[in-house]
Amino acid sequence: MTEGKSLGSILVVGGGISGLTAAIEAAETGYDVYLIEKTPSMGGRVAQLNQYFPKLCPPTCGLEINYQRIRKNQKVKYLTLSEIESISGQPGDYEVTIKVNPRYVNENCTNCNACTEACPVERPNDFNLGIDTTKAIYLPHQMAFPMRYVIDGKACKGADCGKCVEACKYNAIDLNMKPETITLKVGSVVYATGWNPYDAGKMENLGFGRVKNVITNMMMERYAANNGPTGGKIVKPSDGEAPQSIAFVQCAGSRDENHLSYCSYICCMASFKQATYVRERYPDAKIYVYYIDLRAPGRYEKFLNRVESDENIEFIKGKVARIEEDPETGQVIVEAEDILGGGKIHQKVDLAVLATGMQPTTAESKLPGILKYDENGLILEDENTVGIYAAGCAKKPADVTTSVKDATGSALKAIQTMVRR
Amino acid sequence: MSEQEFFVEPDLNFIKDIQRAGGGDLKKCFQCATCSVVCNITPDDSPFPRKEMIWAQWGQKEKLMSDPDVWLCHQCNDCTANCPRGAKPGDVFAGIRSASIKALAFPRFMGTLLSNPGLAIFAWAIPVVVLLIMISLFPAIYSVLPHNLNPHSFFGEMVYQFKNAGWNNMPAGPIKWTNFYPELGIDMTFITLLALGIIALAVGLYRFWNTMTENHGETGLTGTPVPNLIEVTPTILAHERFMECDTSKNRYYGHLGVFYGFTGALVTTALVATSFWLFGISTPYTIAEHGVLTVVVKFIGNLSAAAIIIGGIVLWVQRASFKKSSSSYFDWTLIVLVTGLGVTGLATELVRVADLKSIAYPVYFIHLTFIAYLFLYLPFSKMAHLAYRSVAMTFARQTKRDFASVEEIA
Repeated sequence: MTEGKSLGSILVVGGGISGLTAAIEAAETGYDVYLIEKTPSMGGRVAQLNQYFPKLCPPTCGLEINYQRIRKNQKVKYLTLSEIESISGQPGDYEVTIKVNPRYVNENCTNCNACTEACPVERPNDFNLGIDTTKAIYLPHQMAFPMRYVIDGKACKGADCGKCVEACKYNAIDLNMKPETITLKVGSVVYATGWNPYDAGKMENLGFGRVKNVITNMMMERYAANNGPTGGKIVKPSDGEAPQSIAFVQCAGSRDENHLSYCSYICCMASFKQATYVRERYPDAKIYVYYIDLRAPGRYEKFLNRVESDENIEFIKGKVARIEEDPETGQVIVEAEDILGGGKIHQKVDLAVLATGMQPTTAESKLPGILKYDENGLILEDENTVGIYAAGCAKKPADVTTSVKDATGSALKAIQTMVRR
Repeated sequence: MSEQEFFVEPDLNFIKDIQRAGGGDLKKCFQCATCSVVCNITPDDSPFPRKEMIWAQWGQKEKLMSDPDVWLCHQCNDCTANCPRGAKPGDVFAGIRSASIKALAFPRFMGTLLSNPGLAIFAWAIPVVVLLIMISLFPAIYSVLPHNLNPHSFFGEMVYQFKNAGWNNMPAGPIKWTNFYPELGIDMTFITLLALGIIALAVGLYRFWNTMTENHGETGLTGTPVPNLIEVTPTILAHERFMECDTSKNRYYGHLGVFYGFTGALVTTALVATSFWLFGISTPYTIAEHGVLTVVVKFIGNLSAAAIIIGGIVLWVQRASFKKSSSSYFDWTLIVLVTGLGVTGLATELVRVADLKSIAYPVYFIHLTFIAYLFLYLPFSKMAHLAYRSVAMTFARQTKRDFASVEEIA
């Protein structure tokens, strides 16, 4: 488009669906964009899903389209393993410093996997939420972008071991890589720092970590995904067998002033969706959904109606407030009051799925720059401040569609900052 | 759910009563039923406290004041600790109990007197005035009693005690409580107060039982109250329900101390009264003269005082330390009363032992005021929980509701 002279640069922090969208939308209007991502691969939480709304397609399609757009567009410069450290200046003229952590693997990597085979060290696989492990040198996941291996510096034994270096025929591994700090000049910043699943271990009464067959909804996505730890088989963690009965525990941490005081927006739909995963794989399985209120925003109501009409899926109004393990059968006992039927239920199921909510990554560590947060760490939009914006789940819990729309809006805001200068 | 129509008539004043008595956050409840699940005491069938929370929001006075479940609750506060909305079901239940005691009170104005902090000064003034009037009447009582009895005989001494009783006796002679408030005067005053209290309480309990049967007896009652009361008594005595609490574990010890402290005080009083009326032995006792009786009475009496004071402090600390819960005027009045009874009782003993003549009788007077308050307001203060809870537990057993205790007994 514009030859030579730059219109200005925008920094997008976070390479999930919101950040990818904001970056490419801005770049396609002619602006230079730096997209930085903390982990070794773009894709964020969406990449971990089996299917996502509204069309229940695998995340491959949505992400791959964005990766293609980025690959074709010279305006987007992206960095993985990178975090923003500081920001100074004013709207239109910021100087940001970025810490780039070492990948220990350079662009010579051909993804041949020889290093992984040679590596003696295992680490919990965070992409699969700890359900399985990877080697210390690994490919982040099957659809990683960039498609390049990485070494977990904390797990790797370093030069003392060096087995991967020996195994690599392409001279792609450099165990001596050091963190670098780079400085960028940008006109505006978009924070698309996203969310973490709320730590299920914090709800002591729900037994996560104590009762073996209690998993979270994000773990369920990984079990159901073909590129997941079980190749798409939904199983009980205790014995790898197929569950015949499953309880979905809604509002596990959300709408609770002791945990997340807000509704996480997506968990009802996520559980309805996951109920369909189970129904497809195990047509006889019995499913129980325990809820306070069923929230199917807007047109999602249709999806709820579909799930409700399934006679194998039972909806019980009443929050699960206690989960124990049956010492005799190893089954999960979920306890709730059936408000409409009147009575406390002690339902035995093979698997319980905690519909944990979305916690902004900014709940724990705040970002550089002048930003306002609410009491939950969500970034508050402020009409009067210009130059630094937030997009997607950094601001409020949202589904993919909403996040994408919001990211496009944020890209426009970021552009406006520079045009109005 | 049945499709039958239900015409809701909220009693707004009852809602306000509950809110004033601790349930200020009741409208925050969004009916998730976490509380019913985390409660270790509730039966599985129509569990509490979730259903009472919506009844309270809708001002369902009849349903609430007749609800045995409100009394099956022992305020462990597991519900309050886990409530996702800060609606504090534990405090709401305390509020409902307080509002129910007020609503069931006979005569009704006494319920108002005891539940309104603004009237506290009058509530305390009444026992003081009653005692002052009694003391001022001692000369008049003396004048109408026969004076021809031997002053060293049993009855002669009782009459003679009235002659110079009251404040006039203060500085002179050894500290002897009957010189201030004669034996017969004590019995006349406190038996009357207690009788008034018990009669009023009986009316309240009668109302309570009837309204329970009417509104919550749909499953039918089996047997009669007395055997069922006997069956629940071990549960009450052993404080079994308190042991099931997670959040407020220490209340078990506090309540146990106060409960058995009062029981001990009652035993002490009964021993002294029996010794006096049946055997003509009057206080003060000395080991030389009364031997075993002295040791037993002193031992039980002092132990009881200690139990009441320590138990009261435990309850006090426990209330103050559980930040999520608030304590109402109704709660604090009972704790002040309980600890006050223990402390003034002990102080009465100490001033006598230390022979502090100048303050001895005023201290004793304060102690008597606390006792008068306790007796007269038995049916209207939080002290009434003793009776209402026992009756509710009996009713629950009779309707086969209190499953836990049925299993325990079986």
